[in-house]
Amino acid sequence: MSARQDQFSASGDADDTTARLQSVLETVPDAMVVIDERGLIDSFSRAAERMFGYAATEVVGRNVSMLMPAPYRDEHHRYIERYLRTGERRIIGVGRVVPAQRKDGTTFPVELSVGEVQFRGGRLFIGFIHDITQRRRTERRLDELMTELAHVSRVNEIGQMGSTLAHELNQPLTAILAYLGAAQQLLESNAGRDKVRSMIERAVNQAERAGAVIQKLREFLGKGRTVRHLESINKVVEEASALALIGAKQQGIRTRLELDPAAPMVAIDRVQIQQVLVNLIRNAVEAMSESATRELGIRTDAGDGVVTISVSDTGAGISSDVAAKLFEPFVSTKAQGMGIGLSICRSIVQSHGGDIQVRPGASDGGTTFFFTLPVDGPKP
Amino acid sequence: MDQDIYIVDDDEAVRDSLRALFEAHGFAVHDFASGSDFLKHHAPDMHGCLVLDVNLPGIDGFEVLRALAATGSRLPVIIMTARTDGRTSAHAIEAGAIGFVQKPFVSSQLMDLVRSALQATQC
Repeated sequence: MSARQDQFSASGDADDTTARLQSVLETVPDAMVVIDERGLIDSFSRAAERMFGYAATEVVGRNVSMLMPAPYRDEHHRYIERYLRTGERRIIGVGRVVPAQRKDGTTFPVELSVGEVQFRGGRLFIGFIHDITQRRRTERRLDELMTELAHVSRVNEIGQMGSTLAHELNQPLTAILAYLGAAQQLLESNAGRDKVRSMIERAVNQAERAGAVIQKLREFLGKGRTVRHLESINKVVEEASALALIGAKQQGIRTRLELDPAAPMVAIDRVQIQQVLVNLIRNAVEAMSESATRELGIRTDAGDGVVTISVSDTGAGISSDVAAKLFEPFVSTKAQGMGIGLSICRSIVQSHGGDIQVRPGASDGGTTFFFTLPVDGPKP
Repeated sequence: MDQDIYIVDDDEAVRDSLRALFEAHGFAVHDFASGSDFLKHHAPDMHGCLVLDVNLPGIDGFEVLRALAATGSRLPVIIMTARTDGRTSAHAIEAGAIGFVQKPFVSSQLMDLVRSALQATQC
C-alpha cells in the first residue's frame, strides 16, 4: 500500500485521475520512489518494498539516502541542492547505473531514472528503479566468455607461433653457446685476450637478439584484440564500484568515492578497465575483513596528460618485499588463489599505455593501489 | 693436422659462432648458407666432418643427406635441428647421419660427436 495513496485519501485531495494513475504505477515492475525537494521519501511502491526489503511505513518521511550505500548516501543531498540551484541535470531524464542498498545492508546495482513533476506548489522527483543484478550477472558472464574465447583463440595462435619462435630463439642460443665454447677453448689454449673478448662480445650480441625475439612475443601477447572507446573515466569508475560491491555486505565498510570533476574522457576498453577496478576493489574489501577500521577510498585525479585512479583500503597492508613483486604472476598474499589477478591488471593497464603501482596507505596501515591512464590514449 | 669441418646453416650467427668454435679447436672451417651451395662444393674425396642443419631454405638437410648418399660419399654427417621429437633423430640416423644434436646444444656435445665421427672414419 502506497503512502502516497494514503495521503491522498486522508487529505481528501485524491481525485479519480490520481487514484487511477497510482494504480497504474503500482503495476510497473520497476520500483518507484517519490521524494520531495528535501529528499524525503513521499511514497514507496510495492515493487520498491520487495526490492529494498523495507515496508513503505518504515521509509516514508525519511531521507532517500537510506536506500544508497555510503558514498552516495553522503552526497545525495548535495546533488538535489545543486540541481535546485543550477538546474544542471546529472540524472534527471538521463538515467544511470548506481548502487542501491537493501534494508539488510547488501548492495545491488540498479538503473535509476528520475522524473520531475510540479505538485501542489512544490516539486516532486519520481525515481524508477530497475534492479539490474541479473543483467549484470549475465553481462559479466558474457564478458567472461568473450575473454575466454579471445584467450582460447590467442592460445591457438601462440601454438602456431610456437615452432617459428622456437626456431628464432634456437638460432641465437646455439650461437651464444658456440661462441662461449670457443671462448673457453681460447682461454685453455692461452690465446690472446682480444680473441676471447671478441667471442664474448659476439655472444652478448646474440643474447640481445634472443631478447628481441622475446620482446616481439611480448608485444604479440600484449596486443590483444580490444576495442577502445572514449569513455568518461568517472562513470566507468562509478559503475565498476557498483559492480564490485554487489553482494558484498557492507561489513561496516565506509566507502568514499571522490571523483575529480575535471577527470577527462579517456580512450579505453571499458570492460578491461572495469576488470582492473573490480579486482582492486574486491582485493581492498577482502584486505579489510579483519580490520577494526574499514575505509574504502576510490578516487580519480586529473593530472598532466594522465588521469590517476586509486583504490585504498585500511587493511593490514603489504610488506615492502611482497609489494616489490606483487604484480608478478603467482605472487599472492591470499591463502587461496593463484595471484595472477594483479599481473593481469598490470598487463591491461600497460596495454593502455598506463602504469600501476602500490603504496602503503596514507594513515596507519592499509594499502593504496593506483594506476594511470594517458588522456590521449596509448602511444602507437 | 688441420682437419676440415663443413658447416651448413642458413643463420649467419650460427655459422660464425661454429666457425669460431671449431677454429679455436684447431680445425679448418668451411661454411655454407644452403644445402645446394654445399653440394656444389662437394667432392667425392672430401674428408673431415659435415655439420648440417635440417631446417634450410631450398633443399633441406635430409635431401642433402640423400644427395650425398647417392654420390657414395663417406663424409660423416652430424645433423643439427631445433625439432624436439624423437622421430627427427631416428630419421637423421636412418638417412645416414652419424650423429645428431638438438639446438641449442653445449659446445662439448658437438665437439665430442665430431671427434668420434672423425676417429670412426679414420679407422
